[in-house]
Amino acid sequence: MRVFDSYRKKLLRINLTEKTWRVEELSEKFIRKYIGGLGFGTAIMCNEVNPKTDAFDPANKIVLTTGPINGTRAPMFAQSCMMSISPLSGSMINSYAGGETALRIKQSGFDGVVVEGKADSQVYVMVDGDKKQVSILNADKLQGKSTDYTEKALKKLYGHDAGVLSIGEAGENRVRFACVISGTRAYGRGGIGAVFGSKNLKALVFRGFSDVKVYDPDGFEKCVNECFSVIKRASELPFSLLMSFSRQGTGAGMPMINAKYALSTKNHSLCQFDGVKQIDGAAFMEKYPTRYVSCFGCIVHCGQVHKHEKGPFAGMVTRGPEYETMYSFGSEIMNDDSDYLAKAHQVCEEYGMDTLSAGSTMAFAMECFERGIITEKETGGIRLEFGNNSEMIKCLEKIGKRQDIGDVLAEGTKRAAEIIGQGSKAFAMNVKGLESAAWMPQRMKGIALTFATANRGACHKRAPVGPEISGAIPMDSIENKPELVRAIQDKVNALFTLICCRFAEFEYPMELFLDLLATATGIRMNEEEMMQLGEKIWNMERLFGLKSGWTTDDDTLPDRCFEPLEDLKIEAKPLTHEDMTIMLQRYYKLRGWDEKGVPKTETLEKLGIEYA
Amino acid sequence: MKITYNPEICTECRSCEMACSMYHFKVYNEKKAALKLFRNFPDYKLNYCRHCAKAACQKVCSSEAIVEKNGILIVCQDMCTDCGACIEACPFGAVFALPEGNAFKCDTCDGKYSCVEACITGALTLK
Repeated sequence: MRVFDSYRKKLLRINLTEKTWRVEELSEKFIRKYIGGLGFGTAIMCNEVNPKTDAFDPANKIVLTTGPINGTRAPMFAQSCMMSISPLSGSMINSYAGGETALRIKQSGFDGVVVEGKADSQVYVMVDGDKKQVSILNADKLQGKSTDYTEKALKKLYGHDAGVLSIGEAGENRVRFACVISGTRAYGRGGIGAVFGSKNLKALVFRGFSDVKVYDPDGFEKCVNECFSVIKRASELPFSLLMSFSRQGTGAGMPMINAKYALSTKNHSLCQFDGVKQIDGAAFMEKYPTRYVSCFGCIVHCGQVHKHEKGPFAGMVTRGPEYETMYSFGSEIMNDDSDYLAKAHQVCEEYGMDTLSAGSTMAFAMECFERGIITEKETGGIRLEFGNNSEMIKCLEKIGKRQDIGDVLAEGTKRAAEIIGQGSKAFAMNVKGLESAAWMPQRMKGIALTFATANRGACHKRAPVGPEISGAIPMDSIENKPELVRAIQDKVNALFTLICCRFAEFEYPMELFLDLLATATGIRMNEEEMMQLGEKIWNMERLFGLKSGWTTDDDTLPDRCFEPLEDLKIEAKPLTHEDMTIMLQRYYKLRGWDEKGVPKTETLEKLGIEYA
Repeated sequence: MKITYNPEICTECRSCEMACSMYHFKVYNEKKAALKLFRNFPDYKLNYCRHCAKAACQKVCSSEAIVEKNGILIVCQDMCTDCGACIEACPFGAVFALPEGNAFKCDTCDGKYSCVEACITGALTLK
């Protein structure tokens, strides 16, 4: 029996302080228990990192993992998972990027990599899987360089087919929402780029071309063909998310969201944006010569490469922006100019910053400026008004460089509001330190509960967005929302052990995921076991958060979410504090947590969690 | 029939390479595929076999390892001496060295054309 064929059963551990590395075997018991990706990462973080550790302490670790289906040609399995203690939330964050990194890690011979300690000067790590050699090398020449420059320079040294993950100036400067870039893809959320910076780690390079095997090749290929059929069927429907993403990228749905008064606008104070049709997916396709592009092995091709032939940034070529950026650097900052939106996206990519947190922080700063809480004195002469795009770009670069007001904003909205004071906390759009994703808690109560309870912070990745925005269930009702939120959190967590793209959950039936797992590895799980694994990981993350200092008081939303929306023209029940209390208590009960949101002993026993 | 490639609609997903290696070696590995996508954002190109009538790869092979089978030129692995001459000679960069050093080129998967089958956008077609 060739059980576990698609696993490498190996973990690479790199210590930057000691400049050493070693390969550890992953036991079959560990693999069966956590399956991969988010499961491996959560277990390693819980076992090895004290939750009270500061994100920038050398004792914090970076854990990069793959799952059993990554590296194969199954569509929507291109991503890998990166975990660490987040400089924003102070607890465990998991962040994902598509592209080809998962394939590269796997072909280098590992299921995952753990980076520990701190180098005494800036380094990059070269993992040569074929030579079975890991080198920790001087990166002085890459100091202050953009992610694009860094990646190209390292590929020049190690070949075009090497996998490079790098940080830009923002990560080096420990901008709390700095990200890690690979290709044109980002491990965006949570600020792990700044953790790279704190460890003096500029880049990770993977080179290796060993076989990615599966347990039952013919059975697995049949499952791949089924994935193709599911995607094709979805693409042929008059409307499906995959179809619209294939045609217009992830920004396809913006006008529909706008029409439903649910497009976060002007720092979440409005729910419609007049300029939406100048910045949505269709607008980008119309304005710029566009080419579809995919992540590795994926046939959805939700990515778009736009070429700026004229305009203020002629010559610029970008992959993206994605929907969430169209919100954060579009409606949220009242920008209806796609040229500047793309430019903001590109500046974020070069500096290595999460476009969501960066845009949301910009919106916060603009509101502070318009209220007179900060002035040109603090901004270094920048007139930071909503819609003042050229000034916005200047401010963004200041954040990346931590200059003037940029140094405060680089702390993220939560800490910036603490520094700035004067009531700004009320409109600092974050939960647990992580800036808000596009969706509006004011309008969608499932989103409100998701943002309040997500282990990442104000994150949309495990939210019942589809049923709420499509109108399948009423957006403004709290009925059944705790049940729905809990179920989607567990399901997505379970599927992130396989590290599928979030969109796979929309279309693939659970059976298909389980068949892919079984034919790739020989591990046959049923739906109940899979969902319980998701629940287990969710509870482990929760425990980690509580140990890091979170309380039930952190399961809340900014005051802005309870203010009336002036431009809401339809009858809808506003979000109230009472709604939140009812939903939270119901949610805690469903989860088997006490009224303070702490998992009960019997819940932990039921899930087999020893981490308490 | 010959493979044709339309770069305009290629999305760089690389399903073609993976389908090729799975067909021939029952593994996923770009180094075991008979076509190869090269990328340097935003540029990219695909090296693939044109099944030339007067094939340079066959012409330079001194060990007569490139032989015709059902009208298609294939590398006879038993005869190949790993000299690399065919890899050098192919004007399309479409003969590859397998990790063990021996040459490998498109054999049409015995007429199945796994790469074309895997290409959902239609960038790879048969004409």
